[in-house]
Amino acid sequence: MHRKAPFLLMTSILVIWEFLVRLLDVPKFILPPPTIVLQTTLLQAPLLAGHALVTALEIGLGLCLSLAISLPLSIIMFKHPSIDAALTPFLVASQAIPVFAVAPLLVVWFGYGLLSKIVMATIVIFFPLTVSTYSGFKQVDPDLEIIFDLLDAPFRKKMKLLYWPAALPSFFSGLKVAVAVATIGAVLGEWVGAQRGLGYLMIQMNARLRTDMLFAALVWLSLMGMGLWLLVSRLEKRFLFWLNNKE
Amino acid sequence: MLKVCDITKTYPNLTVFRNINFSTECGSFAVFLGPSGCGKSTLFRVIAGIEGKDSGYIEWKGVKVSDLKDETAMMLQKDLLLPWSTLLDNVLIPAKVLGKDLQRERNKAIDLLSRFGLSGFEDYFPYQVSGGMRQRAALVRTLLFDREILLLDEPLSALDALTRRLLQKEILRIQLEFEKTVLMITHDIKEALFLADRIFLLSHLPTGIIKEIDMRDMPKPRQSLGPKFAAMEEEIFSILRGELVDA
Repeated sequence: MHRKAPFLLMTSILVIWEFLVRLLDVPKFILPPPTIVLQTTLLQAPLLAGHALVTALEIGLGLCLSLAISLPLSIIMFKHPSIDAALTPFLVASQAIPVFAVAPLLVVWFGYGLLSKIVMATIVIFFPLTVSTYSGFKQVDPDLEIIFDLLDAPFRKKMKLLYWPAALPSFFSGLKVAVAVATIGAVLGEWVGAQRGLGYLMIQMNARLRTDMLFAALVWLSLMGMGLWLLVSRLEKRFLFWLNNKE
Repeated sequence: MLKVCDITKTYPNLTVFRNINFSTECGSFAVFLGPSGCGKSTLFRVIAGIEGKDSGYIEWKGVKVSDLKDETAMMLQKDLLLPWSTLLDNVLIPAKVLGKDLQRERNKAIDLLSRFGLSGFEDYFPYQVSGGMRQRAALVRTLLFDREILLLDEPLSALDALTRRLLQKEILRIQLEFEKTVLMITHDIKEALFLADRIFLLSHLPTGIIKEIDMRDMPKPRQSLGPKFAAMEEEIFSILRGELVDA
């Protein structure tokens, strides 16, 4: 029943939506019925897939870049509390600035191509990743450290054998948040200035009052987000097998 | 001889122990009994060099040292096995950290695991085995530190009575076979009488040794607790009850 619940809820919403739009005779450019959105999604699949591929590339590369920054940064902050103290205010301040405000600047700096969108996605992703991984390191059971302290274990070995595996649950929580917001970063970047991508397509179709295409792009974005989330969940289950079975 | 001389340990607004002194022979079994929260674990951490001290020194085989970090292995009430590692990988942690010949240590570990009834469970994860088996694996890991002194901080207190009795015998066997110097904290007077060469009774804070009982003239293993033991148990209990009331 639990597995069917989201499907049943979604079907109910779509049926009500379809029924109300047709009953109230809402114009298609205001709110198209789900059947029209589905039709457009299927008929325009080649066009949508081309744009989706670009957005997926931006998200994927943004994720890779975020991982490359977040993991070493969280390790350095954990190892050196002075660096942690120095960086934390900047990290928090960086999240207080609306990404929308930064997006035009990134387009000016990095151009209309992929790079500005990758940087945009990275900015959105790296904070939850860094903070969650860092908290994971900090939450290691101090008693477990006794074994390593008695052996005078160097930080590198403690990281490999203790801190990193212990921080994995936190890391995966951060990664789940990251993949959920990654699409926001990439699409925001595309809204401000792009030549391809689902965000770019949405802006174009919005200007032409092709609301059905706008919804079709949203369907693709949602599917991409869900796909990424499922992938991370699978990885989480694979690597954290010990967590669900812990006493 | 292992001599602990005039060791003082204070925290802000709290003196845990002041000028504590005791000594025990190399290869002997010393047991510490005292009220809860009297600083026994802190004493062990200071001896192991995990925590600093304010003053005093330790003498080991006639040599004055600050602590016994290089000579001690420690085992706590919690098994401290890494949940993401198999039992074999857990017991090999000392070898991995110290960069020992892994193949040789693996053979040694497999042999020891088998001697402790864990043959066939090498590739099991801690969550897949019972509490007693985990504690036995922790004991094997403690042995693979290859240190002369074993500090055992209530290692059996979380186990059921039967497993506890079995592990008491195993600890005794290890101590005699490997000629280890064992210092053990317990709240179980019978356990102390069963295992100890010397029993140290500790007062409440600031901790001091209020009585030392020499048990070396009683041969081991001590199979049954006769009337003499019953009288000793009563005597120890009445002393500790006084401390508990004062605390």
